This record gives sequence, C-alpha cells and structure tokens, in this order.
Amino acid sequence: MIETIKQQPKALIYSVVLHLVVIGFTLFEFSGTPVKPVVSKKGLVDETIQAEVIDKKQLDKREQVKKKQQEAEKKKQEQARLKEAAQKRAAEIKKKKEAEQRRKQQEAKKKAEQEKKRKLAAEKKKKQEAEAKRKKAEAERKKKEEAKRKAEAEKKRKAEEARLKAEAEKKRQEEARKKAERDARLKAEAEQRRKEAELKAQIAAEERQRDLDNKRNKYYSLIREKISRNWRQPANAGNKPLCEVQVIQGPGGVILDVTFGNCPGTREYRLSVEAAVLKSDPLPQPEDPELFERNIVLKFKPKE
Amino acid sequence: MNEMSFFHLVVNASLPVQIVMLILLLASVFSWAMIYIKWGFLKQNRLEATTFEGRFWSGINLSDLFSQLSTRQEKRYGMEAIFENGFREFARARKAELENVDVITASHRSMKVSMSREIDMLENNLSFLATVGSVSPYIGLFGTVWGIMDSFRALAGVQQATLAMVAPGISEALIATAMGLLAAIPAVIAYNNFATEIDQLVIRYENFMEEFTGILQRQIQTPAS
Repeated sequence: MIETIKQQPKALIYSVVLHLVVIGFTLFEFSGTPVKPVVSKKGLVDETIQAEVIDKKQLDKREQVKKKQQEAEKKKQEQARLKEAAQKRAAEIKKKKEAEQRRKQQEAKKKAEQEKKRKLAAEKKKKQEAEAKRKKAEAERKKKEEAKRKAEAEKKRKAEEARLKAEAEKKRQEEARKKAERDARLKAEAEQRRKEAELKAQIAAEERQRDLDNKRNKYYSLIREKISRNWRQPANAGNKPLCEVQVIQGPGGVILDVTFGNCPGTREYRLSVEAAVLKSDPLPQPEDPELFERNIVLKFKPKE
Repeated sequence: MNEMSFFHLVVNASLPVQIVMLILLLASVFSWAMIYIKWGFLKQNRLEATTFEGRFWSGINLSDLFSQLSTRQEKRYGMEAIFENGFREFARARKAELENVDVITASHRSMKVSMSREIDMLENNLSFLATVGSVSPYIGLFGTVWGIMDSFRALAGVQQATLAMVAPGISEALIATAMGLLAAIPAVIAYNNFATEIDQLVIRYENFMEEFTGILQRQIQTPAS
C-alpha cells in the first residue's frame, strides 16, 4: 500500500488538503459558546456574635444627669450666638449701602463713555459703507464688461466649432460611404469564396461517398460471389423460397455464427445454405476497413 | 477561542484518546488518498477496455493489431495485455507445430494467467479500504470508552459531584467516535463501489477472452487463404 501511495504522492497531498479544510470548518463551527454551569462557592462560616450583660438601672440614671447638664450648656450658647448675629447684621447693612452708592457712580461714568464710543463707531461705519458701495459699483461695471467680452469670444468659438464639426461630419459620412462600399464588396467576395468552397466540399464528399459505395458494392459482390461459388443447390429446393441468413463475422472475416432468419424451405435446402456460408470462411475483406460490418444479412434465392 | 472549543477538547484529551484520534486521522487521510488512486486507475482501465474493444472489432487484421501493440513503448494492461499474451502464445505454439487443440489450449491458458494478473492489479489495496471501513468505528469507540472511563474515575474522588465536571470529558471522548465514523463511511462507500466496478471489468475481460479464443479456433481450422 505504501508503495502505491509513494508512486502517486499527489493523491496524499490532495487527501491532506481535504482533511485540513474539513478540520478548519469544524474549528469555526464548534467555537460557539456552550452554557457552562457555575458552581457557587458561598461561604459557610458563621459570623460570631459577642454579647455582654450590664446593669440597666444604673445606666439610666447616669444618662439623665448627663442630659440635663448638656441642655443648660446648650441654652447659654444659643443666647451668645443670637447676640453676635444681630451685631453682624447691622454692620453688613451699612457696608451694603456704601457699596451701592459707589456702584451707581461708576455706572454713570461708564454710560457716558459708551455713548461717546458709539457715536465714533457710527461715523466710521458710514464712511466704510460709502466706500464699499463705490467699490461694488466699480466691480459690477468690470464684471459686465468681462461678461460681454466673454460672450463674444464664446460666440466666435462656437461658430468655429460648428464649422469644423460640419466639415468633420461631411468627411465622416464620405468615409462611411466608402467603407460600406468596400465592406459590401469584401462580403460579396467572401460569400462567393465560401460558396465555392462549399461546392468543392460537397463534390469531394460526393466523390468519397461514390468511392465508398463502389467499394461497398465490390465488397458485397465479393462476398456474394464466394458464397454462391460454394453453394451446391439441392435438387428439391421446394417452390423457390427466398432464404434469409444472418452471419456474424470476426476480425479477418472469420465466421463466428450463422443464424437463419426467415427461411421457408426444406431441410436439405437449409443445410445447403449453411454449408455454403461455412465453406466460405474466411469471408473476403473490404478495401476500406470502415466498410467492415460485424453483422451481415444474406439472402439466398435458388436458380431456375 | 473559548475553553469548550473543538480544538481545546482535542488538546485536553487524555493520551490514549489522543493516540486513537491520531490513528483515525491517519486512516482517513490514507483511505482518501487510496480512493483517489483507485478511482483514477479503474477509470483508466474502463476507458482502455472500451477503446481496445472498438479497435478489435473494427475488422483490423489480428497480426497487425498484435504488431502495433507490441511495438508500443508504454506498458500494456487490461484487455491489451490479455490479447497480447494470448496471441503471442498462439503464434509460438503454431510455430512449434503442435496439434490444433493444444495450440488453442496453450493460448487460452496464457490468457487466463494474464487475466488473473490483471485482476490482481485491480484488486490490489482494496483490502485496505475494507479494513478502514470496518475497523475504524471500533477504534473510535475504544477511544470514547476510555475517555468516559477516565472522566468517571476523576469523579470518584470528589464529594460534591456536578454534571459540569464530567461533561467536558465525555464530550471530548465522543469526538473519537465521530472521527471513527467519519473515516469509515467514505471508505465503505468507496469499497463497495470499486468492488462492483471491478466485477464488471472482470466479466468484460472473460467475455473477450472467450470470443477471442473462438476466433483463434476458426482461424486454425481454416488456414488463411
């Protein structure tokens, strides 16, 4: 087995490639995500609780005393805080008033300045606008002139183009006409040639067919002659029956089998026919191997 | 690639399972190579038989055919070989002026020998395909059983067993069976197909041999005119 494969390593290569392709496909197909069950790892350790016992009454008392003290302290602090807050508020109001006054003064000053600035800007703007208008008019005039010039040039160019086009068209038509004429001539010639060739081929085929027919006739007549030479007709041939015999021949005209088709006649008659065929073995050969036929049907007709 | 992919399953499999997989892969590769070779060879033989039959029955002279064949450089096989051997023996026996019956017997025998050589060549290596076809499912099954055994044994040492612990092992073990079937199916199909084709060819050879013998017998009884 190994030697056979060694003789044709191509086969092994094909096979390996096939398998690689299949494996590649499986790798792609199989890489979907299957569901993976998760094993939970919850802690099983209990939390330890620590406890302590204390006398509850004592605790309550202590707590009450402490509460009272805290409240007194708180009150004191509250009063002090209120006082301070009142003082602070008065100071703040005073300050605010002053600031307001100052702010007003500044605003007035600012307003005057702005007014002045605005006036200046307006003047400047007017001047600029006038300038721009002048410039625009100038540009428009120039543009118009340019457009006029352009239109004229365009007109000229178009006229020239049209002239050239017309000329080209004329030329083209002339050429097309010439070409069509030439083509028609060539086509006619080709047609003529083709017809001639066809005719020739037909003649050749006919000739060949005739030749083959001749040869076939010759072949058949050779067979007929040989068999009829070997045929010894019996005296009592019956009422002149027509006898069909099928002969199968092998290479070289060797007779392989003889079978009777439609053959109404006496036994002697049939025997004589069979003997005639077998005696003619081997059958004559055709000149052209193409004419050889494996199956031959022979028809026998007794002489008068 | 996630951890359940085909590739990972194969790589993580235990050693015996991996060996089984490797064997099956090799078997598949070789059987496909063999299928390719055999297919080409049988096709060539069929074609050759058809063309030779056409030539033989075309009415060509037998000695011409013989000389054409024996002067050809290429190796002759199939019907050509049978014809060549038979005719050579026929000519040799005739030259030795043996009796007619002996001449035919000698020729027939030589053709028979040549035919059995041809059959041998046709059937060569076919047994490999048959073996792959019948054995690889078993090999794959072996791999699977082994893999499952392994994963159950691993399960034995664990207190809290879950399906997730055995499933990958079984899955990778089952790949071995799949591979075994994958190797076996084409091999079996190809084997059956080839066996039928070879039978048909042999019948054709036999028929040709008998017909040829018949022709020789005729030729010996009626000397060429």
